[in-house]
Amino acid sequence: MTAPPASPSPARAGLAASARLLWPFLAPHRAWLWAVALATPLGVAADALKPVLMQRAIDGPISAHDPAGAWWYAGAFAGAVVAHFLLSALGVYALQVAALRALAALRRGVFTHIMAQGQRFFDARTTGALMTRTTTDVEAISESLSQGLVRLVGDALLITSTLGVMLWMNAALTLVAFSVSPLLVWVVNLCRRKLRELYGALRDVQSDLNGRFAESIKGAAEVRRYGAEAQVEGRFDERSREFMRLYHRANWWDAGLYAIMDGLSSLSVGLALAYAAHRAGAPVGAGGAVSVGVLVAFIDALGRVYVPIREFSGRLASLQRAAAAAERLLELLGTRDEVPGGARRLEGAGAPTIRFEGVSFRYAPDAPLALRDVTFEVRPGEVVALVGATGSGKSTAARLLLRAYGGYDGEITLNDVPLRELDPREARRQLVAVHQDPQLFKATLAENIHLWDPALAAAPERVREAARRARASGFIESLAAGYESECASGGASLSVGQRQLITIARAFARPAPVVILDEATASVDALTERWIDEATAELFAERTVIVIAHRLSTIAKADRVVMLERGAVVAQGRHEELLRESAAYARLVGQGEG
Amino acid sequence: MSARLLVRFWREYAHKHLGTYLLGALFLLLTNLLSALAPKLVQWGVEALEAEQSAWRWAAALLGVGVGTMVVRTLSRTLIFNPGRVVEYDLKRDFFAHLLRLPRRYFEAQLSAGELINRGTNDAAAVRGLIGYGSLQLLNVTTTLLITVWQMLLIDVALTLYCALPLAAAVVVLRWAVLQMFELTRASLSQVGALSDQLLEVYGAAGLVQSFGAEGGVAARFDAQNEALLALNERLQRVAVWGLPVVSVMGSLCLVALIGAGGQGVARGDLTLGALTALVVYVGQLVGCVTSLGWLTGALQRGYISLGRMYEVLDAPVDTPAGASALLPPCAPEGPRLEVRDLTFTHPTGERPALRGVSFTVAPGEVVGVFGLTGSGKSALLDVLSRTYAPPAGAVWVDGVDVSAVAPEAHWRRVCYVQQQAFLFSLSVRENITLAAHTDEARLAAALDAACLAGEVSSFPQGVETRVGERGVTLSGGQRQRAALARAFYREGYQLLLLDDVLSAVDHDTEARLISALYARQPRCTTLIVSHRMSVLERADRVLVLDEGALVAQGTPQELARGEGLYAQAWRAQSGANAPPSAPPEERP
Repeated sequence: MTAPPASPSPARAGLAASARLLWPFLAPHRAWLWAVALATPLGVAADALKPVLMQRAIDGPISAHDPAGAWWYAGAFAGAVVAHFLLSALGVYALQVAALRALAALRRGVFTHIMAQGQRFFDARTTGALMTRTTTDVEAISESLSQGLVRLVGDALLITSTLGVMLWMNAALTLVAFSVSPLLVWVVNLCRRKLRELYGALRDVQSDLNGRFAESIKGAAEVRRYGAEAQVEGRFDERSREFMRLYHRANWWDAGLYAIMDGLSSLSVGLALAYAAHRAGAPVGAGGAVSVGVLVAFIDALGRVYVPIREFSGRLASLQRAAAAAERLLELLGTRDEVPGGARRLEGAGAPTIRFEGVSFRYAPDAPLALRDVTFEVRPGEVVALVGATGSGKSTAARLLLRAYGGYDGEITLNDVPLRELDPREARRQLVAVHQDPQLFKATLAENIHLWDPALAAAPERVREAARRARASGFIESLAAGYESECASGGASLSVGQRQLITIARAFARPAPVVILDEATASVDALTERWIDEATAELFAERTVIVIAHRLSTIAKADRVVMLERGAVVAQGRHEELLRESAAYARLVGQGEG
Repeated sequence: MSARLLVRFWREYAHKHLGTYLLGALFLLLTNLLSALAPKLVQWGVEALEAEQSAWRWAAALLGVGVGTMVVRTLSRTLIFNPGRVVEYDLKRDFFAHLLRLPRRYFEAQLSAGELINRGTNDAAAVRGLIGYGSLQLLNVTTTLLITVWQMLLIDVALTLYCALPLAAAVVVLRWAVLQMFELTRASLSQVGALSDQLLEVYGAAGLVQSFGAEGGVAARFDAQNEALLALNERLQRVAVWGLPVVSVMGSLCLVALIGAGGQGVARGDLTLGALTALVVYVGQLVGCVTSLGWLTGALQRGYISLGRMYEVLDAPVDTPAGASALLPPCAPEGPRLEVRDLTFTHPTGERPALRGVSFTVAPGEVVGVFGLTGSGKSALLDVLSRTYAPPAGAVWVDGVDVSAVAPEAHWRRVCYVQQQAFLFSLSVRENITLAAHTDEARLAAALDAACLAGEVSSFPQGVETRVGERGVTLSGGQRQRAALARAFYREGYQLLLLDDVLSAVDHDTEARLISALYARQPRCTTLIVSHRMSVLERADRVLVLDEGALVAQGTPQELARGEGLYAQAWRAQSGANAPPSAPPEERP
């Protein structure tokens, strides 16, 4: 079986992609890159000087029994050693610093890009995949830059310079010593390819194992209650065994690679010695006898040149890995799914009139219409309830108003200014949302209420006032750290009802005249439910509210009801009127009783 | 290092591989002899050339050594490395099995999930440092080192000391750098973990962040994590770049000493040129050995620490009480009789008791509702009755037997506990519901049907074979609850059913159907059902009312609704809220 040499083209393509992606982030660290460009070749030169000095010392002053001359060479050699260390370390360090800083900036860029996208972008991707783009893929690119590219260049310089010096000292001896190298290239490529496959498989198994660990820790109680330990252990064991088996195979290839490299360097030395023996007796010089100094310098050089040769194909492979990551990131950064906004602002204070005029919308080009020709109006100070069965489009209407999606037909206007021409900041000044799924951050409760709004963050009394009006101050102040209590991710340390109170406090903290309230369906205890009712009643009394209502009590409190069915408005008017006039409406709210 | 831990590790895991190791060690010895032989052959060859004799046989011998090295080294490496992987596997298996048997208490009060995963994977791998890569490589390096230094001493004592002493100093520095790197790598990995958690949270709430214009604040939090990661990585690189090459730099400086001092020796005629050449080769070997030594002592120390961390978990007691009985008295067909006597219970992480002095009795087959505000102890009560936490002795009795004296497995066989936040594995719907290798198809279909899940599951891409969770479909809160209920409907053979607010995330219509399915379930069993919803509690035989951990009232739902307590207040609030539309409309403020 012959192994094709590692193809350079995917690596080159990956390199181009990585460079295009990374350059804007790398450019600010140009000074460090200059340090790399200067220090690395100088370091290699200092390294290549060492065997030359050694040969000169042995063939010169040492053979001539000249101690002073020997010490001179020793000094020069020490200088070369120190220079090599300082220069090459500086080169590597400068490169790492530039790469790490560019990486941090790239990660920031990816994060900012993702956070600017509209909801459609998030619908099409899992948060896990986005996280992988931001962490693992960025990491792979930096690795290709620091481990792959520059070391590759450094190694190439070292190999060529050492070879050059060897050829210059004795060309015939060099050819003899390296006569085993085609075999070497073949073996190294074969082993590397096998190892790459195995390590790829191992990574997959490892991440699977980690997942199983995490699951069984979270689900341990459940597993035992159902007596399913054997099942769970069996599944884990199967993968764990696979992991071991793959590693055993990898060990064989790995051991083979190192042993052959080891053996080959002995073979090369043997061949060099054989050549010297063969030429012994001929006059010293090119094509003639090999001097002892040259032989010693060769043996030293052979010992050092094999390591970079061994690593060469590995570095190429890391470039290929980065290529895939760079392409994924370029694709991501090239995807723009922002909801476009304009620059117009609303004139005058007070709540605007909101109008949906013939709005139609679908989530994806091939998806059915989520809204069909929806028209309704919300006047200042009104409380309008959107009702309908699951999937009727009431949440979709709220999402469009909150600018989560663009690309709808018809027009949504605030005081006759189309939403798509409105400055996004102005839209946020006018509208505030209370989401149904209370999303809480791993941050303090105060932060979870002000959500890092600079004005609010600077005014703790406004945060406390909002919490008080949302009826959340009671439980917050009973906590030891009060508003500074850390909230676990997703709000796991709070009850469902408490989380809802926090999201209502967010709306109280902001003076936006219009509140879009997505009523929660999850049941909470009676006391919390009363607090939520009181807080929403207060919102109803003082703001314009569009409420996605599930409970009859809320619907009955609205000034007007808009009923949706499969994306279309089928009825609107006062609750009592609709009850009398529409059998479908009566059926729908009748369901609310349970 | 304490020898006890190592002896135990040897007895429990490592000793099985003694034969393989001895064979590996034999090949290792051969490898070392061959590599010690190589420079000797070079020396003799060069000396032969110097003396203008034939060097052919030395060259031939060197070629032989090269081929021999390839075979012997491959064998020694695999024979020594492979058992390490077996030990890692054994440790991981035992660790995993033990995790499944640890009491809930342990996960809450002792170690976080992330830390346990870390121990089960990274520490298990690091323990290999003690056995495969560690001990025998240490043996290898030490023997090579001794042979090399011995050979060097034979050639020239003073020159050997010139080289060996600076290298010994370099090892100390290297060891420090290696340990620093382990430390920093670990810190950097956990920082990546923190960053990932934050990203998941923020990307999941992107819509919220945008609608509140919170991008700035979220970005600042991201920057803090991102910069902390950058700082750690830069420190790591500083140590790696400036600290790790110390031995090879020192080795090169030793060469200087050799050329300088050795050159004089040759000049004086104390030393042959061949001997000096051999010394040069030996220094090269010495540098290799000393570098490995720095890494190895680091790896050994790390392996030892990791072993301790794994044993800490492996030694954590599983919760089977001493002398626990696995035999249970026969149970009435309608379910067991449950008795709770003066039960006081504090969560492992809690400060105040979650339950104080609770006493009640549930007759066989009775359905009892549990009502109370958030934090009143409802879930704690079910956690204790289900023996998720061990109950105090004498507090919980089933059919006259104290639960604290019963083997947990036996108790779990008769109890079915469905929690509010059901845990689903990233497996197929089928596997999540049956939790077994074999499926009774008819029972599965009936369970899905009773849990009002059949319609949705059939609309999934692969029906019951669809994976849920990260790599499959994401279930809504209501769907998760119904999947957990389906699990309970599927299961057979239990006599005590505990339901913790399992209907909180389903809509009213589905709720009504689920309640009917629950109450109609055959065979009947003794049931406790926690809920906020009157529609659920109204149909119970009896309701217990908890307030701040104490049982404040009990009675039939009708009796309680007529009273003045918490239950009556809630009943009036909810029935008012759900008043039929024909009732007179409420006055609006």
